[in-house]
Amino acid sequence: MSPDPTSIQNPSEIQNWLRRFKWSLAAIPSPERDDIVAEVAAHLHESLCAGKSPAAVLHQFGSPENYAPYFIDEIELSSALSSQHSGAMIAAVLNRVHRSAIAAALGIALLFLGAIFFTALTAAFLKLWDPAHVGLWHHGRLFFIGKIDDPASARELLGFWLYPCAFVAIALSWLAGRFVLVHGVRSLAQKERFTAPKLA
Amino acid sequence: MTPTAPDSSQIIKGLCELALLSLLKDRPHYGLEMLHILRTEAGIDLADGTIYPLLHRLAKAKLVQAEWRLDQDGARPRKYYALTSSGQRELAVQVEQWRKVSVALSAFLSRKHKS
Repeated sequence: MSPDPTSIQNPSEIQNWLRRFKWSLAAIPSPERDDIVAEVAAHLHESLCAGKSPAAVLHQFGSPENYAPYFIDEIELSSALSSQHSGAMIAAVLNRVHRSAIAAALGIALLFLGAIFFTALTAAFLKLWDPAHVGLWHHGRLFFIGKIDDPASARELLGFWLYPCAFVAIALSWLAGRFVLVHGVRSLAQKERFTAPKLA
Repeated sequence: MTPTAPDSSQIIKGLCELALLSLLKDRPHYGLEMLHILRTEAGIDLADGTIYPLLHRLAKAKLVQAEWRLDQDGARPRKYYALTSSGQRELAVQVEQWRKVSVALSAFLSRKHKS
């Protein structure tokens, strides 16, 4: 059980910093957040007792808004990996796309696989409603999948084979997406593990 | 001791996890105490705030476990970290990796140029 950080008598600068730090950790569940704040508060208090000034003590931590993400990022990745939920893992990747080459590459790969998944799914559904106008079409040197207004202007290549083909495309893109996602998030976690925070 | 310059400190920071695991091998320590030992004995001069995200990460990976205790006077609560059995195994692996890299890099750095 972590102690209550507000029970420690600290100067107002320290109290303000701790308050902002706690706000910045809002994404973390309460017991864990309180535990992190209590530990940092105990450290700050002990440093002050050793004769350091509040400014010198806080300089070692940087701004609370910059310091908090080091904890949030770690929790986001480890929670996503332990839950194995696709949504949580995709969110963890998207939150890093602007600052990680691995995350950016993962985002592009997932976008590509997602496009295959949804195109196959949509084509299969549309084929159920309008089998005469939906399919894999060949016109001149062009191949495309979808719906056309005039079926006589192009040649349909799959017919009702579109359903098993769509099923295979959906299954393969889903499996490939999961594989890329799980291994990509593991790589991100491994990389962040060896990237220590830059402070002071 | 002057804190390490930002550029060169990145090399040292990458080894912090290994240093922390090694430090906890003997007995449990709390954050401020670990910083002091890393500075005085290992020559790793980290900013104070750097250590807590690292410890948090190690705890999430179940390599260390944390426990709140009061100091001997009963006046100050401190969070002590101890190495778990997984942490001991990870330490052994990282020490072995570090020794291999260290030997190879030392040999490379001390190589003689062929004329």
